[in-house]
Parts: sequence; C-alpha cells; structure tokens
Amino acid sequence: MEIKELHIKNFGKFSDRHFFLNSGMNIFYGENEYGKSTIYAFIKAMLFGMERGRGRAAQTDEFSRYEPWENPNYYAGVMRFTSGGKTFRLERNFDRYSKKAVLLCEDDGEELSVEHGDLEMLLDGLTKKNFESTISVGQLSAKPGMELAEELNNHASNYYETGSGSLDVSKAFHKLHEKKKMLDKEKRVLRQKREKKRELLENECTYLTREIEKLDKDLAESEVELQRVQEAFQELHTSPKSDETAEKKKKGVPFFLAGAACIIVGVLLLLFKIMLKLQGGTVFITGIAALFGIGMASFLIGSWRRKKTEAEKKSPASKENKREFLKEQFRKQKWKRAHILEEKREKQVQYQNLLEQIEEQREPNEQEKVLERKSEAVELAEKKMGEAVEKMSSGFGGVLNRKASSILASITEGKYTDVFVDRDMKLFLVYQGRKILVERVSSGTVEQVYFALRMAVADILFEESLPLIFDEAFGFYDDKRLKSTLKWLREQPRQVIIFTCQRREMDMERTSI
Amino acid sequence: MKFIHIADVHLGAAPDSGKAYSANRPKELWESFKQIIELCEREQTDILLIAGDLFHRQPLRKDLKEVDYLFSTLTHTKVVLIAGNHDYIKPDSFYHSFKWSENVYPLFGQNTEYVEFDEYNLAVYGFSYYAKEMKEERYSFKAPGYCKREILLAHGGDEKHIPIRKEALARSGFDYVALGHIHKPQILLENQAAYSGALEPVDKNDVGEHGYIKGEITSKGVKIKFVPFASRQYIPMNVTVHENMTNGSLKEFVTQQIEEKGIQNMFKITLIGERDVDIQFEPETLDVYNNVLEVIDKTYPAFDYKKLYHENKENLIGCFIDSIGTCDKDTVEFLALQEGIRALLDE
Repeated sequence: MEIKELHIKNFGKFSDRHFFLNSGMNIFYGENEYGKSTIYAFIKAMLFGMERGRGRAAQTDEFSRYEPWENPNYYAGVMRFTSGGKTFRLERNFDRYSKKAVLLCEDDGEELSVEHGDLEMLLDGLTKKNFESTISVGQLSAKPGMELAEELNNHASNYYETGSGSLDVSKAFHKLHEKKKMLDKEKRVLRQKREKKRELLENECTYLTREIEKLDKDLAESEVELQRVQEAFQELHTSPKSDETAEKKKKGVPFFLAGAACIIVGVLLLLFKIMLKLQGGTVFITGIAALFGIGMASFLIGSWRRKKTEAEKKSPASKENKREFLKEQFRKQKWKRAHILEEKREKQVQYQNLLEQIEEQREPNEQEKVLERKSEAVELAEKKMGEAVEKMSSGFGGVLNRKASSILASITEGKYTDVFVDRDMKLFLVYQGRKILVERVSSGTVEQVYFALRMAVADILFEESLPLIFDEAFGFYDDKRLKSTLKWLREQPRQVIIFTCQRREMDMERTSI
Repeated sequence: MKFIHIADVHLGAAPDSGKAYSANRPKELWESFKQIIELCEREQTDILLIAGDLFHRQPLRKDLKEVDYLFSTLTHTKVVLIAGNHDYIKPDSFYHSFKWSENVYPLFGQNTEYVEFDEYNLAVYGFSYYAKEMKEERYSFKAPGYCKREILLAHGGDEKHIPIRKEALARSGFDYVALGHIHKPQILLENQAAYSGALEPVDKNDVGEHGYIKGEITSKGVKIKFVPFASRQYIPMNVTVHENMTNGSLKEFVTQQIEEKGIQNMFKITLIGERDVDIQFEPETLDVYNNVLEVIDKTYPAFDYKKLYHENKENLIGCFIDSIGTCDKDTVEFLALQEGIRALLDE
C-alpha cells in the first residue's frame, strides 16, 4: 500500500490543502507549529475513522483537538492510495451531521463498503492499535520512574509473547489474576454466610441440649417425688387398723375413774370432817387437798386422753382423706412426669430436625458451585494462556529474533549482530560475540533495538507492505546512526513517511540522492 | 364419591431461606393447607387423600395438634394419610402415639393396611415410610378386591424412594392410585394414576403450576382433574439478550416480563445469548420486586471466535484459542476461552 495524495478539506488548521506523496521516502520538515501532527493525525483519521468521545474524555480527544478552526461543521478529507495495483479514493466526513466514509476504486469505479470491512481488507487487517504499535513509530518514551531499557524490555516481551504489537500479555495475566481473586472473595463471602447460618443452628442445638438436660433433671426430681408419694401411700395401707385406737381409748378410762375416786374420797373426807367437827389436823387438810389435786389431774389426763381417742375415733374418715390426698398427689406427679417426657420427646425431635438442617448447611450451595466453576475456568484460562505464550515465544520468537537481528546489524553497521530474548523475557544483544544485557547499552542503541523490533514485527505481521511512518522518531540518534537507519529504510520496498523538526534527515537525504 | 388428592405439602419447610420471601413462606405453606381443608368443607368432599410428606421433617407434637385441629373442623370429609420419606416414622415419632380426630384414618403401618368406607363401598390402601430411603419396588401388588372401589395411596417413584413402574400400576386393578413424592404434578395413567405434585412449590426447582387433584368415582368410572391452587409459582425465565442490550434495557425488559407473568410469582432467570463485549450484566439489579430467586448469567460476549482466530492466527490470541481447543458452550473450557479473550482484548 502506498499513500498517493492527502487532500485535507477541513481538518485542524488546514483547509483545502493537497499533499502529494511519492513511492520512496517522504519527509515532512517543519518547525514546531507547522502542522506535522495535524497531518499525522489526518492520516490516522483517514485510515481508521474518528469517533467523538463521550463525557469528559470528549474535551481532550483527537476529535476535538483537530476540529477545524474555521467552519467546524465541515470536517472532512480525501486520501488517495494504491493497493494491489489499484488506486482507491477514500473520502470521509467526520462531523456529527454528515458523518460518512466512501471508498471508491478509481480504476473500475466500483464502490466499496468501509462499513463491511473492505478497507480493513486492503489494509491487511491493520487496526488502529496495531498501527500505533508497529508501522507508526514515535520516540520510545519511558514511563515516569522507568528506565528506557526497561520500557523496551516490556515492549519486547510483549512482541515475543503475543506475536503482536497490540496485545499486552502481562495486563491480560493481571486481569485474570484479579478476576480470580474477585471470584474467590465472593466464594468466601458465601461460605462464611453458610457457616454463620450453621453456627446459628448449632447454637440452637446447644440451647436445646441444655433444655433437654434441664428436662432430665426435672424428670429425675419428679421420679423421686413420685417414689415418695408411692411410699407414703404404701405405708398408709400396711399400717394396722382401728384396734390400736380402741386400746388407747380404754387407756383413758382408768385415769378418769381414778380421778373421780380421788375426788369422791376427798369430798367424803371433807364432809366427814365437817360433820364430826374434827379439830386441827392440818395434815388431814393437806391430805384432802392432795387428793383433790390428784383427782383433778387424773380427770384432766383422762379427758385429754379421751379427746385424743375421740379424734382418733374419727380417723377412718381422715385416713380416707389422706389416701385421696396421696392419690391426687400421685396423679399429679404422674401427669407432670408424662408432661416432661412429652416435652422432652418434642425437643428431641426438634433436635434431630436441627441436626438434619446443619448437615444440609455443610454442602456448598448452588451459587457457590457456580462461582467455583467460574474460578476453575479462570484458572484454566491462566494455564492455557501460559502455554500459548510459551508456544508464541518459541515459534514467533525465533522468527522475530532472526528478523530483528538482521535489521539491527544493518542499522548499526554490524556492531550488534544479534538481538534476542531469553526464557525470562530478558532482552540481550550480542556485541563482538559477547552477550550483553540491553540495560548496559546507550539510549541511542536502545532506540535502535526498539526500531529493529518494530520493523521486524511489522514485517512478520503484514504481508502487504504498508507505509512506515516516523514521528520525531530519531531525536536520540547521532548522525552516524541516523545515516545508516535512513539507508536501511531506503532499501525497504515500502513507502516511508517521516515527520521531523530537524533539518538533518532532509540534508542527509539530499546528499544521498 | 368425590375426593381430593394432595401430597408433599412439606409443612415446616423454609424454602429459599435468605431471600426476601422466605420469612413468610413457611406460613404460606400452612395457609395453603388450611385453604384445602376449607375447600373440602365447602364442597363437602367425601375423602381427602394425603399421599405422604405432609411435613418437611419430623413433625412436632404441636404440629400434629395444629393439623388435627384443621381435620377436626371437617364435618363430612374423611381424611386418609400416609407418611412419606420426609416425615418418615422414626422409632420415637409422635406419629406412633398421636390421637387423631375420628374422621382421620392414618395408614401408618410398615406393611400395607387399608381402611374401609362402607358408605361408598370403598377401601383405601397404603403404608408408610419407616426410613429416609426405600429402594425396593413395593407397589407392584394387585388390588385385593375387598370393596367395589379401591384406591391406593402411594409415595415414591425414584430410584431411592420405591421405584414405580407405570405398567405395574396399570395392571394393578386399583381404581385410582394417588401418588406423592414427585413435586411436579403429572397424570401417570389417564384417570387412573397421578401425582398431585407438591401443593405449593417447596424449593426453587419446583417450577411451574402446583395444586391438587380433584376426582370423582361414579358408576361410570373415575374422573380426575388437576386444579392449580398454589399461591405462587416458581417461574423459570429464559431471557435471550442481544448485542445491543445494556444493563438498563435488560432490567426494563425483565421487569416487564415479571409484571406480565405476575409479581406474586418467584422467578429463576437465566440469561442466554450473546451480549455486547463491553457489557457485564449485574444480576442483582434485576430484582425489582424482590421476587427473583436467582439469576444465572449464561451469556457470552459476542466475540466471533472463528473470525478472531482467523485474524489472529499468528499471534497470542490465535495461539490461545488453539490451546483451548474446540469446546462446546456450557463447558468450563468455553468459560476459560471467554475469560482469556476478554483479558487479552479488554482495554
């Protein structure tokens, strides 16, 4: 493919400007502000189109940056190029209202469809990302805090491991790793939830066990109580019947009789004394008083005894009461025991049911299984990716080593004969038969290795010889290096487009012609 | 003679615990059962057949009391029930000793028992589970013929729970075989043997309609009919996404579908089809009415793997697709392919 003409209708600072390009080397020289980046952006926009970004990004994206200074609703251009021996005319309108892309083959007038990938076909599958990482070369710039060589190493390992300039294998691995971590975390959360639930159930179990133990205690107590009532009842049955009380009753009578006798004798003696008018004899009086006392005492004892036996005489009825009372107690205790037993059984069934539930919580649930499967898949993807990377770097890597080495050798005029990466993706150069790490060479050389690698990748990736575009790419090169690089470029069967703000390239070209 | 046949009520189950509905769900199972009793009373149904698994686990005494109270409210209906594999009769089960109301006839023997209803010249046969599993085929006996009409109450029908052969039932001579255990209602033999299915869906796999079987035995023979009754359904919903769908439009679409099918139902959503490569669906946003039990995302990014492979034969993408090899959708390999490609292509 070769670009023949750029017709910038209205784009950035240019309006209705024609640039004609030839087959070999084209150098756009101009001081800063001349509009080199505008032309570069125009080529990119023509090849891949340009979308207006959304939101905040829209303020700084390319679309806004190159929105025409004048008449911004007319934002368009034409590019003519050859490919496969035919000439094509690509016209694009970028502005929102008349956005379109028309691809026409000028030789036969056939209209092709950009939308359906005809342009992509002509570009041999070149994507914007590929474009930026292969045939369009800027200055190798190190990210802050990173050595240039390190940056090159990253690029190189990416080329070697992915076989493409646009894929980033370490980022892919990182993504997979993060995904796995996320899945594992989700899984953990679910498991913890399940365990928490199980714990709650287990607590409930412990609580139930305690309740059952308490019921056992109650049961034992009730058993003892029942035993006691039963014994009392038995005692009541085996005790002898009313004979004893009858005896007791008789026992009261002598006291009565003796008391009565004593009192009668005492009264008689008193009467006797009064009637006979017996004189003196305090002894006699005392004797009478004693007789009275004994009599009264006997009488009292007798009557107490009698009362007692009378109470005992009633005992058939009271005994019946007692029996009833014990029976009632017995019934109550029995009922209580049955009740406790029933409650215990209920609790035991509940306990068994809980155990079942706990068992069910042991198994991972469906959601967990789904996550498990996903995490398995991510792991598999990591593994397969690793295998693919290995295969890539041994297959593609070999080709890349050879190509890049030959390019490096010619642009360094044989100083560095080989470039290769080892198993750990470390980039090495061979200098006078010695292996040296790329970190050890000058930044100019690092740039050259970068150049060699990109050119090699572009060569491997695209059968169609696409133009090589350099945007201020040779700033770090000394004159000698620049000269040999330009020489190598001139020898390539490709169109070369160089944007520069230095006269060096032009001067050298002029002298070489 | 009019009868109602229910099974697998699973009282005491707490379906889908953790989800929005689970707190009320156990009550709903009881409520549904209560309504069946009320229906029997209203329609003066002659016989209520309960083909096992009335309870989800071992019934507590208080559960039995509740159930029996409901039975006791029936002024006409006689109830015949058996225990299934969930409420199987353990040595210490309350089923052994419970005193049922007069109109309740449990067939709780380990071997086939029967109860006769002279007024209908009907005998109902059955036995109960004494273990969680019973692998022997035990329903291949013939109707003994003690009465003019004979019904068999049976529970099981899978490998571990009394395998049942349709042909055996067809030749058994029973006028009707009322089956339980399988939660999905199905007529096994036209007007002769049927699973009423679970009265209410018990877990999220019990999709589709649930209810009871209403039957009548007349001189012309047996006629049965399945009657949908459950308060809710579990509805599996396959949603085919397309490349232009975003989370927002998917949510709108699903919500509309749920509204159409009734928001009282519970939904199991499976997303299928190809989605925009940049979109990752967020299942939790789809549950607008708190009735989405699960969302399974089976969509895959609309990568054209053939094209991708073709375009990237020379680089890592091609090599990666190669190393996974050909695989069917729904395999772990295919999932791995998706994850890998996304990781490589994502910005």
